[in-house]
Amino acid sequence: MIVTNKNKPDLRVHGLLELLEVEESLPNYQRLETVLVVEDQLELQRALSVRLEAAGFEVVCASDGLSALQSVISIEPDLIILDLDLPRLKGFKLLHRLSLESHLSEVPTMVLTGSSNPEDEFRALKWGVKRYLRKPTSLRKVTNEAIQLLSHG
Amino acid sequence: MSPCSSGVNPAKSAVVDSNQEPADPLHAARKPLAAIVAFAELLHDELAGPLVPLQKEHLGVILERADELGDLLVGLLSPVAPTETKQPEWEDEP
Repeated sequence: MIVTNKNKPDLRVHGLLELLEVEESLPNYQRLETVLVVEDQLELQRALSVRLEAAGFEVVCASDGLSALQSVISIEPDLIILDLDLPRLKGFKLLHRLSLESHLSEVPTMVLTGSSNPEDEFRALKWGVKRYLRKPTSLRKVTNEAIQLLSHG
Repeated sequence: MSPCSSGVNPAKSAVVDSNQEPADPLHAARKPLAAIVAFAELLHDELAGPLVPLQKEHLGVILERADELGDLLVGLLSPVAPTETKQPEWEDEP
């Protein structure tokens, strides 16, 4: 059975797969994992969602910590990409809240932050964050890290 | 489920108030640079449509220089590491 992202046409059926040149699109087109992007900088949120969708992920976004918490509870994403400096509920508070729910604390989290505080990385890793990336970083790198995390943990 | 941003709202995108010095200049500088790098990369990788080779080459230069600028900002604006970090009272470290 051919499984595709529900928002995209099945390119194999249309014979277009060979025409795609974007690296991630070919091997990862069948991904069905949901990634929650928590980012208050709307341009970056948009760019991340475009790149992740091109890699075959289902992408859901939140622009503040409280909305992110509601999204995590309602959709139980496979991966969270989290900015730390968020309105309404800061990234570390969100991690704290998630840690109180056993089934949600298992969701792998990747931090993508502009923070220049060296303590933040240490604290994030203590909270169980799997990857810690500083802005600006390549979207390719973020996507590859997401693929690796969901493949190997 | 929350939809992702489908456009750019300049009012909400402003990250630096020009009348106020940011508390963390490096953090403030990284935000717009992150957007520049992200969109240049989307264009370079042709996720917004095909490019002619010269356009791709020019975007490659933008990406390289943005990378250099990022390194430069870190060197110029990195804060001195704090000697002591207070833990907020709400936070139970794992």
